[in-house]
Amino acid sequence: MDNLGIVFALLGAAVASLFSGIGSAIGVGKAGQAAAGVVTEDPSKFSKVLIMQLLPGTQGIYGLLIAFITLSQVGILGGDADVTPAKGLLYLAACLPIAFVGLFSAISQGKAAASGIMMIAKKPDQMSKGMIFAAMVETYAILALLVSILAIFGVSAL
Amino acid sequence: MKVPMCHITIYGNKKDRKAVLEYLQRQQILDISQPNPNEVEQGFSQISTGEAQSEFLRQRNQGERALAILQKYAPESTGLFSSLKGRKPLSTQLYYQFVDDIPEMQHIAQELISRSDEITEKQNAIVHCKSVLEELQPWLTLDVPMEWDSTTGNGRVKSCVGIAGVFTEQLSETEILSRYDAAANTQDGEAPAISIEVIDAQPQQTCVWLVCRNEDAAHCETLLHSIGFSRPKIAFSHIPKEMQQIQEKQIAQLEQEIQELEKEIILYRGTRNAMKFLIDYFDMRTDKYQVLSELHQRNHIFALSGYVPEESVPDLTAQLEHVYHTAVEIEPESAMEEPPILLRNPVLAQPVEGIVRTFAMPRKSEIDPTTIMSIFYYIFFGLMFSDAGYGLVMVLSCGIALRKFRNMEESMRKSLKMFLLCGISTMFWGIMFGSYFGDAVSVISSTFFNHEISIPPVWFEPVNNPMKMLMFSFLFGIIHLFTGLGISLYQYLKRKDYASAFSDCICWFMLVGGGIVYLFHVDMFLEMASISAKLPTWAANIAAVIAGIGALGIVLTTSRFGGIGKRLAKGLYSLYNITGWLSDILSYSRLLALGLATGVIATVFNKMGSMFGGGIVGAILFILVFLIGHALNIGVNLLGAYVHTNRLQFVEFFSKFYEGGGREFKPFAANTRYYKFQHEPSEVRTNEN
Repeated sequence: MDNLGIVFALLGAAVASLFSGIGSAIGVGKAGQAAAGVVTEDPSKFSKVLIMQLLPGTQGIYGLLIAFITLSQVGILGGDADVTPAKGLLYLAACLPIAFVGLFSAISQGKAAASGIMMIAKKPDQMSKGMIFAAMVETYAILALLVSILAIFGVSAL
Repeated sequence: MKVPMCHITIYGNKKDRKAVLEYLQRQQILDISQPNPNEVEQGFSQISTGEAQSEFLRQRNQGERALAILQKYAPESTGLFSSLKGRKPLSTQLYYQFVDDIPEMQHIAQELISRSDEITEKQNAIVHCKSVLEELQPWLTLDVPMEWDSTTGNGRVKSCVGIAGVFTEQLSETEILSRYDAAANTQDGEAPAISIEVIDAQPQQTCVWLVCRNEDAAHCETLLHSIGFSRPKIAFSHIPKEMQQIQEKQIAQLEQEIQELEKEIILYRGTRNAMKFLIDYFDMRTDKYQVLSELHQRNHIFALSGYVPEESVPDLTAQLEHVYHTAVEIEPESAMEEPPILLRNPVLAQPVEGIVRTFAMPRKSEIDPTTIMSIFYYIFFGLMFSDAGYGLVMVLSCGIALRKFRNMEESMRKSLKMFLLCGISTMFWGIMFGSYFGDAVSVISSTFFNHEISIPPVWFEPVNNPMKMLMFSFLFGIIHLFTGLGISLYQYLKRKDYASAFSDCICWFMLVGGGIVYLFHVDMFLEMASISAKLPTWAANIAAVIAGIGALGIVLTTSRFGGIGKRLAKGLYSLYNITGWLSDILSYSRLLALGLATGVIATVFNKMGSMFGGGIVGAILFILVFLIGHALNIGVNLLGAYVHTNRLQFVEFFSKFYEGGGREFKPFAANTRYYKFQHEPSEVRTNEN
């Protein structure tokens, strides 16, 4: 039971990469379907719609980022893994914002990106506006990422 | 800056109109804006060129089809960087050489199209042959023609007729015969004698061959019909085996013919450029005729008006008056109209003009925000990407592309220049934060040389002190937002709208500025931001008073119409906008978040690479992981930095002062797809139509 702290911390890292990764996979998948539809009509739009498709992928990367910071802070990636149960739970809590906001914002961003891709199909010159619409959703993932980062650094300083 | 515009009207001799238009199309400096049709001056009228335009369109589409055919049978090899190459320039001399060859080109286009049509026809014929072969399949064991009677017979069986037919179920000869007899019995008749042979029996279909006497044929068939017999869809006077050979031979022949046609088409691959020229040429003519239809014409003169950048007016009028003997009327920008907007900024700011354009062109009353925005653009991009190594990659790749492809399109050149400058900023911030491909330097030195070297940051490392970086992100944000508010103030003052300047700008400066200064007196904030110095109480009080005056000013002065109650309610509502300011400032935390994301992901890849340990194998694997990982990181975070820098400009910055909605300056020009036509029109052949 002495190692319960590291269990909680690892659970946090896993949750962060799990949920945001799932969200990004769904979001990128949705956008990808729309993108494939556009490319069947006009293959020359491939690079434009590809960029749009990538937009919901960032949440997964944020999750990876938080997971990695957690792993390195608790010493799983080399170093001595010595975490008290209370601290482990704190790490777990710190991972939750990006896990949940990552999950849902990536799905919503996928929908916005899919609509943006439809827009590119009709008006390719308006692409940057479509990107902004999708990026609006990402703001909340960034805020969650920020809270998670600050919390993890704060916890490890305790 | 916006380029000042002049409105000019050109009056010329009608016979020169096409020459003048051609000249203007090549100069690309006149944004044609004719007055409304109902404002046409007395005695002037417009002509319709719809017929000619549709003819040009037809010719153009022919060229387009021919080009597509060439592309299908003899694809053009396009390199990875073909989008950087830009359109091919074409000198005037070559242009006229091409123009002389246009009938020949049209002929070639028609040849290509007719060959392609022929191929389609033959392909359809092959499909038909194949379907015949398929239907023949069950009949192949039949050794007499399917259509056979005494007249086609060999003379020995004059009194008999053979009928081929199908049942839509699987039946044997005895089953058919018993049904046949049963059918005859129900009709109280005698069943005529027949002989049945099953040729092929499948679950869905039975093919039979039957023979009966000539005189019974009709009766036989009626009886058979009642038990589900029908004639096959195909019937030939050949024996099925022979028919099969005939069809196969035909397919082979058709295929060979198609191959020959394809070879002929491939022989034309040298005419690809001619087809491209054909498309461009007719595009240009369509454009010209569109303008021609907008011209105001009278017996011998025409009038054309539009906008020209002020600095080009003297040259243009001189040329028009001397070469084409036209009269030019020049009016400066009047207060009433909204001239088209052409942006021109200092060299370093010019590349981000495209970003402003994607948002909206400024209106007449607004300033062009490009130059001021460009400074923040480069700084924010660099902060979000913040890695010296990645910055170097950007600078090198954009620099090499700019040097190597000198003929690239202007918009592409601007984008690359923008990323080059963003790369320089990225390098700068990378050095400030001590990030060179993440922590690659210390990882490589400790893994492979057992001696850790690290490059210390010039300023500080955000990973080790995120709170400090967050505070600076907010500081950058506040500077950015206040700059926007300052521009708004300037615009109000320029319009002499002093009341709005006070309520919408100065009060907000006081409220937000005072509030921020007061924060430095709040213990909780200071502790969070780990700032040791505390603002003295008297200064904090002054700040609070200023903020209070600002808030009061907003409530009292924002609405200047209606009753007191309504005005106060509106004022309070606009004070609510303080939450907007709060979220705007917090939004700049993305500078920290994205910067950390780049750095930490880079660190992850370095760590992954170094997991294989030292030695040669370790080094090879490290290089592999390093290349793939950092390429991935650059791709994802470059996109992120670009999108979020745009967002900070569009949403946070522009909302303070910029609305946009101006019309972009779009000169009458040769909007071609494949060739770039050079200037200096030929004066020799001006009467070209």
